[in-house]
Amino acid sequence: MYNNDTIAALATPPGIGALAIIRISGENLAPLFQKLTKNKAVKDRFATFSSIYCPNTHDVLDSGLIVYFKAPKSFTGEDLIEINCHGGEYISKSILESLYAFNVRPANPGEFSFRAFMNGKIDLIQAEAISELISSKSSLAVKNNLNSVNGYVSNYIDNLKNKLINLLSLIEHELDFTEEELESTRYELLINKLIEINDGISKIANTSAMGKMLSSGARVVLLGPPNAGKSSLFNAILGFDRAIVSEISGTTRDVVESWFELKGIPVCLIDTAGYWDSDNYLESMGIERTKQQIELADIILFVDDKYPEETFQNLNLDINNSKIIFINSKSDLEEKTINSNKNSLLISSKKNEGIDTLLNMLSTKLSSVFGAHSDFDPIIISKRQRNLLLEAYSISQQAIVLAKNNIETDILASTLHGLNDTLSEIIGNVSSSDVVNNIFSEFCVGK
Amino acid sequence: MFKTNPIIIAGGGHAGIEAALAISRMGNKVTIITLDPKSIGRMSCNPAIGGLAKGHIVKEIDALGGIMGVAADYAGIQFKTLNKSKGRAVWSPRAQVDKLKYTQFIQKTITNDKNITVIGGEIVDFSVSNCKVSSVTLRNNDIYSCHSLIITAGTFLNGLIHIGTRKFRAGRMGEKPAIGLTESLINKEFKVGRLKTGTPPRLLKKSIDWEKTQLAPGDETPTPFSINSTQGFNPVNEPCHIVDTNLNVHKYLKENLQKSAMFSGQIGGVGPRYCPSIEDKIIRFASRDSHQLFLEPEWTNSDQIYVNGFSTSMPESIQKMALRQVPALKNVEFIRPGYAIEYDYFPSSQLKSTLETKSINGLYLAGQINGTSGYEEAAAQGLIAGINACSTQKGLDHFVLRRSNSYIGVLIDDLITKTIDEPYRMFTSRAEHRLSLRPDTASLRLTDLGIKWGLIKDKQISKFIQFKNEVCEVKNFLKKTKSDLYSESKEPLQKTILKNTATITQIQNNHTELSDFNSLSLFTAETDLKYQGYVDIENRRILQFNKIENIKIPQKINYSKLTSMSAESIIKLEMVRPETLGQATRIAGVRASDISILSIAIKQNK
Repeated sequence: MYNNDTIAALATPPGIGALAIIRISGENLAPLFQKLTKNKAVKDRFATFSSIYCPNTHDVLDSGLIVYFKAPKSFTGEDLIEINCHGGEYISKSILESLYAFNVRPANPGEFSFRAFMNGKIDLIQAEAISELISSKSSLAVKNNLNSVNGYVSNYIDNLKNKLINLLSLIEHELDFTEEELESTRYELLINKLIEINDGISKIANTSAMGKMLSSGARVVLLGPPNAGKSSLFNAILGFDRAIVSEISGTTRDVVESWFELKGIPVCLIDTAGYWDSDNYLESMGIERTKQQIELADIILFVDDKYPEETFQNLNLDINNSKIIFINSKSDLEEKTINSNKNSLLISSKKNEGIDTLLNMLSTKLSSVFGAHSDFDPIIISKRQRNLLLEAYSISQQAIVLAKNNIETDILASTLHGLNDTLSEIIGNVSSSDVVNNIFSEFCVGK
Repeated sequence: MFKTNPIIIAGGGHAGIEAALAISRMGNKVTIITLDPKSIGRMSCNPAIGGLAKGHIVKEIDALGGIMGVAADYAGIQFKTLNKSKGRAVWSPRAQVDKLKYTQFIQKTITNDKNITVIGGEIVDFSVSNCKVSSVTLRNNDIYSCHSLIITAGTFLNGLIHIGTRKFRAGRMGEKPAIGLTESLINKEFKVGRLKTGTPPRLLKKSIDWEKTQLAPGDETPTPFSINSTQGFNPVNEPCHIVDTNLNVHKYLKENLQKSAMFSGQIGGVGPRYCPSIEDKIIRFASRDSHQLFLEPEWTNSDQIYVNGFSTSMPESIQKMALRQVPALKNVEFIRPGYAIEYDYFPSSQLKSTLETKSINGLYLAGQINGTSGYEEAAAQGLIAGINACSTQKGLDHFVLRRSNSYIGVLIDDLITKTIDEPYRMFTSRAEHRLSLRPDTASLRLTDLGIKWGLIKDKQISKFIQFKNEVCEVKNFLKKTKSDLYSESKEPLQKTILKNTATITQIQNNHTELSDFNSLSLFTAETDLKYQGYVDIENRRILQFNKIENIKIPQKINYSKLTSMSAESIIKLEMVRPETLGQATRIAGVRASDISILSIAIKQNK
């Protein structure tokens, strides 16, 4: 069993902030609470305002809110203390140091969640969702991760599994009786039920693509010949009443990327201007990097001030057209109105015209590319779960093909058992300690 | 009187026989103590061996040198492979057997075996010293000392027969029950439970109007169970007959339901769900207006007919009147009525995977006493208990089969990890490795193990090696040889098989290289090639899934200290005390998250 010694760590990000939260978890923490508050009454799930004392020297370290959660009604399922102290590195550090000098151990990464899992407070999916939650980039992502934490994904998969198990019981039941005793179910009926299950998997796999975008962000790449107006558009989009999340120079000085939030979706906008615009770009390193960016892109904004579609065709790039929005830039120039083309969007970065329309188009496109369904909340899932979902999808596809080819019942049953196992693994119904350890190793300290 | 016997077997049914013969093949002496030596090898219920999943077990017993398949081949009067429309992994061999011939064959084999001694008597108690079996006491006060005791008591422990509201103590109809052994086990702190099983009435042949029945013949080309029977196997093909029940039968039974021992609440034991009595069937499947009844001869030219599908505990007069509603049985007469029997069993979570009890060394339990139903399931357990009792004596490794190599492995793993609340019978759906556990591959899966433990006689070894080589040669031939007989352009014959464009028989007819091969080798080679891809997927999946299968749980583990587990899991784990993590996952009521906790606990203990 894990040690249930007392652990502590900073639960908020390190650095400067108004407040910081220190978490302590372990067995029987009431005496520690009293030491920290100099004998204030220990009230369960109650915020006490108090000076914070060093448990050894009884010096005052800070003042703030201190909350005591009695086991098992706490995040970890153990006794838990949360100290809301003043921000800044010095104060939280001094409190932690004095705790470490008092038989409290610094927590390992993910150890709080690990204890929560070990005490049956959360299941594996919830643990994974917490891990994703920590690194979520936008408000929508946070909301959906909370869905996952509350067991939404587990319920959905459970539901699919129940359908599959009903189907399997039907087949197994037939295998357990002779032909004389029990008539076989027609394969058409089996196929219909299989298609239903396959649709269910496909639906969650698609919305989880949306989930992937929510957690890691959508990549939108600006592409086009030199002087087409990419950089102006880059600035216009970001400047257009958008919250700029961060602006960083990429790993090479050529790449400029910036984050903004579009209707709750985190978007990484990438300007390829830096290398496309070099004099002989076809021979330069630039084209390779551009190709990389194109490959990684979820959406491409192809910008040209004349005939964007034709220009794009001439480049002979292997890109699916559905990923592209064609933009006819510099609409403020006079001759433009005559040249306008139905398939491309007229934009003037200078006059801020057409940017709104572009953003609406972009948001619709992102939803369609990632298959978000309006009746179905997108879901954040981990890479592990995503891979298993894709595997489940291909197994169910295969099962349908086998059934259509009238494969022997024993082989069909075996395939469906494989599907059931894969679905079970997604929600962690059978898990070796390896899986568990992998999941918790991705956590950071304090969670 | 005080005598020394290294291994004693209590009971001479299907379990006891296989145990005794296995010990003898391994070269040890063994003593069978049974109430009535004349009843050794008796088939107490249906006159058939094999059937769905049970046929697989018979093949496996044969692959380990057992006698059941050989005896069934010798005494069979009709052979039929069931479920032929559903895939070769679930094809199930079954034989209608002449009960008298079967019993004679077994008794002759036992009598001629110099290592086996048979004693008529009733064991009423056994003693234990230093946690080890030391002796047994008979009703006549004879005491035999022993190193190992294998109890295969069948339905005899405190057996109670019910016919309607009439009940009397008996082991089987006309045989005494065994009383005392249960109490002896309970005194040694074994948990005991009560189960029920039933048997249908036996009809007088000449009272049946055969013209009004349907014919149910066996296979044109019969397949034997045993690898030893391949030459000169030419059984008679005696037909069975089918009649259907009708609404009149159902109505009559329903009106008299309160007279059934089961429904009047007189029987406390739980009966098998899959072999239900006729009164059970009409209640559970109320929407069906007809059930099939098979009229099976109990032996060649028998005047006694077994009514398969009409097991009942109704009073005799009700049984008879109900059957007389069927036109062909209008004037039917009984030789003896159907009855239900209640008996003691010992929940098998008290056993290790060797079938030795966890609390007393040298004590083995096998067969119906462990809560199973069926000849085949009993025989398989007897075989495993016998081999292990003998291995322990000889200082050999334990003989434990796996879920991945046999139905016997599935059977025993289920027995020791699952809670049994009705008589356990085998189904193919219990085996997650079903595709590779085909009946035709039993010897390929198990005989090498059998040879290692000294269980296989020379004659069988050479037959096995020949079969194994032939399968291998045919597969190689099909992989290497290309032909355009079955497709537009030349393609490997393996592909032809996979595409189902020709059968192995057609291929054999066109390629003289294959003409000398045995049809069974050809069949297995063909099926192996067909199933290989799916078997690979199945194995990969299970391997990946069961990485935890063979992780040993430390014997001293204290579950109550794993406070983060649910209380239910702790209780279940404490009760079963599984040997491996894989076993732990199969215990009903143990949560998956608790398995993770257990696996981490084991890791941290290392």
